[in-house]
Amino acid sequence: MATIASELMTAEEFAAWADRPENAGRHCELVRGRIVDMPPPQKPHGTLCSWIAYLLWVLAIERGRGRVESNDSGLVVEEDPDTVRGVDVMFFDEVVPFEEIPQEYNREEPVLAVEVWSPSDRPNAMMHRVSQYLAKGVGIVWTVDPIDRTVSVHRAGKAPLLLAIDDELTGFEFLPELKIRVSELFTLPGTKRKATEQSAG
Amino acid sequence: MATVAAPTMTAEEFFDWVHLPENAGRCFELIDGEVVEMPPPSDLHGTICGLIAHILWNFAFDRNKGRVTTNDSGLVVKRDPDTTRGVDVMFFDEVAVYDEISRKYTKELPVLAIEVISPSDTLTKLNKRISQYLDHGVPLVWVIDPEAKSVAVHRPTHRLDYLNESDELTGCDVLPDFRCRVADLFLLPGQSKAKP
Repeated sequence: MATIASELMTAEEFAAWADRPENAGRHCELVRGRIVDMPPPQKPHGTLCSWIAYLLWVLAIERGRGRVESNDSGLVVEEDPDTVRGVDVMFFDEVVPFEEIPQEYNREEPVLAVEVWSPSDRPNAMMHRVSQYLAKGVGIVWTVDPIDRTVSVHRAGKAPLLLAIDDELTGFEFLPELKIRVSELFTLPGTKRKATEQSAG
Repeated sequence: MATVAAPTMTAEEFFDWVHLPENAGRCFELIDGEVVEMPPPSDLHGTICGLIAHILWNFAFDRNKGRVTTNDSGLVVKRDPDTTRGVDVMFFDEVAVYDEISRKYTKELPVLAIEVISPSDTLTKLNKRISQYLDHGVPLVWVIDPEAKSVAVHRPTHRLDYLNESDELTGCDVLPDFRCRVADLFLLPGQSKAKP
């Protein structure tokens, strides 16, 4: 990850910079006022992100409440100097008409933030993200490891939980209706599920 | 890490097995009763572990209390099936008498466990280790990235904290007298001290 500009930017200046035509298609984040280039995601990453977004949209539709963001939507996690993270998937616990979705980066925290790990990510770089999300007030942070097929669940003030393929992800007090087996994250449509999971679903 | 074919073992059986002559010089851990071989750590990994141990030993001598272990000393973090982890560096908050230090795996609980990230570490492997230390009752876990020169601070009832080179590393409420700069963990003899 290379730092691009030398002067410190605010979240708003970063948004304007990212919208310039010459920056179209670039993946960047703002970390403590500095623009940092992100490597383009690998193929399983995009599949997993959109699949998790789908599963969360299903939850939002079922409970009639909630909004999902994907595609590294910006979340302002620190101010002065500003840090804008592109989050893989977020769940906002709100009812909001389409027209009222803010055009700028989110300053309200989601209840759930999901990051899908790539082997090229340093584990501590992932911890940095998790610590920033929790400090921002995000209730639950999942880090999904597509290689070992696990999900680590982080909450502020709680020891992290490492869930394996047969464990169940829950929403705790933040999203009580949320119940997704870890195996569901890695079971795409038309592929075989275990019988126990079918009856549970 | 390859799983070595062997029947399920207890931590005590594992200790005896590891110390068989044919296993000399190899690194193993016991995970849920199964023996797992570890890759030998790198030059950088060993250097950082040694340097942190030095900083912690200095701290222990200054306060006349504390004991440091290195070299993947065994810690039994789970029973039935047993899991024995080799921890990079541990700090025991006790006045230890040399002759009373366990000749087998420690029965004491370290107040600080430190892992230095290796190239073979995946997020899951690392998170499993951290969870096992915290669940076992270790109140403070540092995960050090020697490439990014950062420290992730894990505690069972506090928010995860991330420190970079310019930050101060403290012992939190676990070792309240301990403080150093994160940069100090990567500063070798003959190199100038980080600016205060």
